[in-house]
Amino acid sequence: MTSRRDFLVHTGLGLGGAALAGFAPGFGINAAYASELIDPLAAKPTHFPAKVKSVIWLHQNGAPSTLDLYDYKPDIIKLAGKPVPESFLKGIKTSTQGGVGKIFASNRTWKQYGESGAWFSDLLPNLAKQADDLTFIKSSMTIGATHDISILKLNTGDLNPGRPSLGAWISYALGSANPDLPPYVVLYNGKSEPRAGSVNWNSGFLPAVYQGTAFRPGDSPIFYLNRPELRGAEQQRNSLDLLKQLNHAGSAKHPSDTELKARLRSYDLADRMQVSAPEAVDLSKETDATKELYGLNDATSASYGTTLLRARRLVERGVRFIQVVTGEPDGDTDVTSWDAHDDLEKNHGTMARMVDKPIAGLLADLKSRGLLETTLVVWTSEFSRTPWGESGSGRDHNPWGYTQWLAGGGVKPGFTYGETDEVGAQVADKEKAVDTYDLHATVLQLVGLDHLKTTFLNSGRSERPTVVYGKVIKEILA
Amino acid sequence: MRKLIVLLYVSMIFSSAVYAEEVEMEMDLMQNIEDVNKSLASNIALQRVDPSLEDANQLTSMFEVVEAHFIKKGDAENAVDLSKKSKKLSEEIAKLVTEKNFDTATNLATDLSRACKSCHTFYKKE
Repeated sequence: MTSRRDFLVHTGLGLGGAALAGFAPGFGINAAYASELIDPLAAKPTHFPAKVKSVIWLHQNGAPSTLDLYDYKPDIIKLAGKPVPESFLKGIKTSTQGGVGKIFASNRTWKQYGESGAWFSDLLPNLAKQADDLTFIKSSMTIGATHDISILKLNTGDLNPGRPSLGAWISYALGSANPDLPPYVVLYNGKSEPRAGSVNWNSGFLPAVYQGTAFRPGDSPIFYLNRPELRGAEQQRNSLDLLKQLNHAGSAKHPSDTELKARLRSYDLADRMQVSAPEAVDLSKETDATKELYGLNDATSASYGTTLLRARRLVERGVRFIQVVTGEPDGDTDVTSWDAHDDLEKNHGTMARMVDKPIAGLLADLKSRGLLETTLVVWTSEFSRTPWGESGSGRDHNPWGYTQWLAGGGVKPGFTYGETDEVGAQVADKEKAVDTYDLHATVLQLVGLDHLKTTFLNSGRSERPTVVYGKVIKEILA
Repeated sequence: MRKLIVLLYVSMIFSSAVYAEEVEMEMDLMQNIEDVNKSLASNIALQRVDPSLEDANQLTSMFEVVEAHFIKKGDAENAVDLSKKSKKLSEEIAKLVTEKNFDTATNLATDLSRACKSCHTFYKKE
């Protein structure tokens, strides 16, 4: 029987609480759907038909030199060892830690691949075979600061903590497609959580329920998810059922407390995930051929390959946004990210070997299963590296012009948008510069969301994922 | 109150622009432009006519100051062009919100933000 207090809480006060939390009816996506008030992760309609159901966001942590992977520049070889001509430095601030050294040419060999003729260096022999599936953005730019700050911008669009990450916006706007798994999962390989941590997958001013859930490497993806050995299944079931009743009775008294709601929802989700999460990341039923496709048979690529194979399994299970951060290969290594201020040869040799086969395998696997056309894979980084050298053998940070790529549904395969100048120092045509906001706007467009109408009322101000910027890169859309 | 301070500030800068030997553009003005621009984006999204109009008019005034600064400074043709473009966009946004054409106003406000960013990113050293 419903008490008067329960009735008020579930109707008037419930709506008031939701409105206070930003669900202001009438504007953009944050209209107060009745289902949303009961379940904030209920599936919600898109603004227009979505091209993809899931996004795999491949963050290459540490900033790879795209001049040594995709952006072939013969002038770097011609000018190697000479000062950077002034014309290439016009309009950019070069106050990064290394200053401007002389043009540095690495020991790369280059070849064109596929019908598109895309250039790849010898560091990516496997990914090169997928050339015709990739859509390159060779005019990427961002704000160059420290890695942590630029990574924050890459994921949230701001240089300061507090804004929601792209995955959180998508979770908020679309809800969940699988009630037994979070809509937004973060994966990483290596011994520790990615640098700068959970601020890169948090929900900012959005309700906390939309934040990403980090899955750790290993058999137990989430801390304390497994039932302790000394406790029986029935005993635990009874305890959890009682706890659930008490939690929800307590929550009903605080209808506007989204942190509490998020916590309770994660308890419920954790309960269901005791079965679903281990199964989602359990690779025991994958064939040896699939494991080999992802590079699990190679010590350097095995951990990253495992992560990407898990990403594919999460796509199959309806997870909307999977943020994968590169860590380090298993075993003893002093290479922990792409951050090659010195010894680029060793650093990029190791990191490229770690990611090349797994990413190529992921694309091939998604394609063979018919999933690539409903999935968007984004290869991205916080910035890239300069054409001039640092420490004699490395490269400094370059936020002024670099390459990122997309593959999958809704984008033109085998297509390149934009370019950098002759030495790869900065974007050649500023009208074609693609900033983080533009990339975010384009990803949102592909999942069926208008970035201008995906809004949330925060402290009286209407906020959107692209802050006040963002332009969909229409030229790359299929 | 914030808007009053901004208006007073713009008036003071204008006075300087007319009578002083050299136009000085301070970082505070840029910060104010950024703040008003964010307010404008929010007000358009919330379909508030009067606050949007007020923000757009303030921006028009402030971009006049920016334009005057770069003309006086010289050798900054791109920055002058971007200032003019921004001023024109602010004026168009003012008309659009008056007509309650918020969709187009949102698009132009985004163009305006991009123009600001282009100037900051590529020309701030000039």
